[in-house]
Amino acid sequence: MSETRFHTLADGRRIAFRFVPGNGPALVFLAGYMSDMAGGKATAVFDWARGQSRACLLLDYSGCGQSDGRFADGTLSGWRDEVLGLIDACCMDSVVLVGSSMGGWLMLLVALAAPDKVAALAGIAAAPDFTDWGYDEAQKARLAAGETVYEDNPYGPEPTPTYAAFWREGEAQRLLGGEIALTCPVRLIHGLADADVPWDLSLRLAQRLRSADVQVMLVKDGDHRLSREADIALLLRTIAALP
Amino acid sequence: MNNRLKVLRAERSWSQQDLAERLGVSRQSVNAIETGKYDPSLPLAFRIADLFEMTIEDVFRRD
Repeated sequence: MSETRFHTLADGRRIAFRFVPGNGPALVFLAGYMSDMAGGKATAVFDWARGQSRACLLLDYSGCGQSDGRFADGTLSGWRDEVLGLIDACCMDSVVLVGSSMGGWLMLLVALAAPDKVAALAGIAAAPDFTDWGYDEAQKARLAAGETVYEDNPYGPEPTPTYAAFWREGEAQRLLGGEIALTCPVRLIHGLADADVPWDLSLRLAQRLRSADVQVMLVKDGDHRLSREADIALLLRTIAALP
Repeated sequence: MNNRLKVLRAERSWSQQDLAERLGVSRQSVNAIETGKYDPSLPLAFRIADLFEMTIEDVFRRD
């Protein structure tokens, strides 16, 4: 029931997902940049949902994890559409989107595209607009010129690539410049020791959301991953307490 | 290139995170190697082989 399955897109590419049916609103976990559904937070949310008889969906974006495609071809709007397609394919009419890092940007884009289906949002170090604040002017100039930018990856031996097509498309999807027309409850968790996404971004996002029901939780010694046992416990408590 | 990383990891009851910490890389890197999205550098391939006390050829195979 919870084994990895594949959803075929119109162009034939297969998107890997795990789905457990149950009570709604269904939880949908959206992983970060170059991540996948096998991570600690995604797995914890899935296992918790199953224990609560709660519906839950995990997926690998195209080019990531077990899904088809090249990471170099990935864009936010493409991944957003894959999420929307899977929400439809799993017949979910009400969802809580849980987005980590870039997944926190994606959850906003999914919610804006299907506001009637989204009951609430939970962001973990949400990183909207990182194509803007995540690169210096020299990097942006290279990306604008069509080059790929590689950055040191503190978690591994290989640098992390940003492809020009992803960056350009991300720039067109920026949200923090104005009001974000979402009115559902939103919970934002961020670590003050996050070295990748500044924690004040969650405060800026909270201000930009039209919803009045927005709460930000700051974890003083929390890093970007927020994957420690206590961090995951906070995430699950937060999801459980959503109206 | 094929590899037996997932099987070798499962035989030791290691999560991707467990293996990543032993190798000093991200969990996402382990996932990407297991799913064939990424071929590790030669130094990393040696670290993987050494960790499992095998040769590189025992862990990684041509398609």
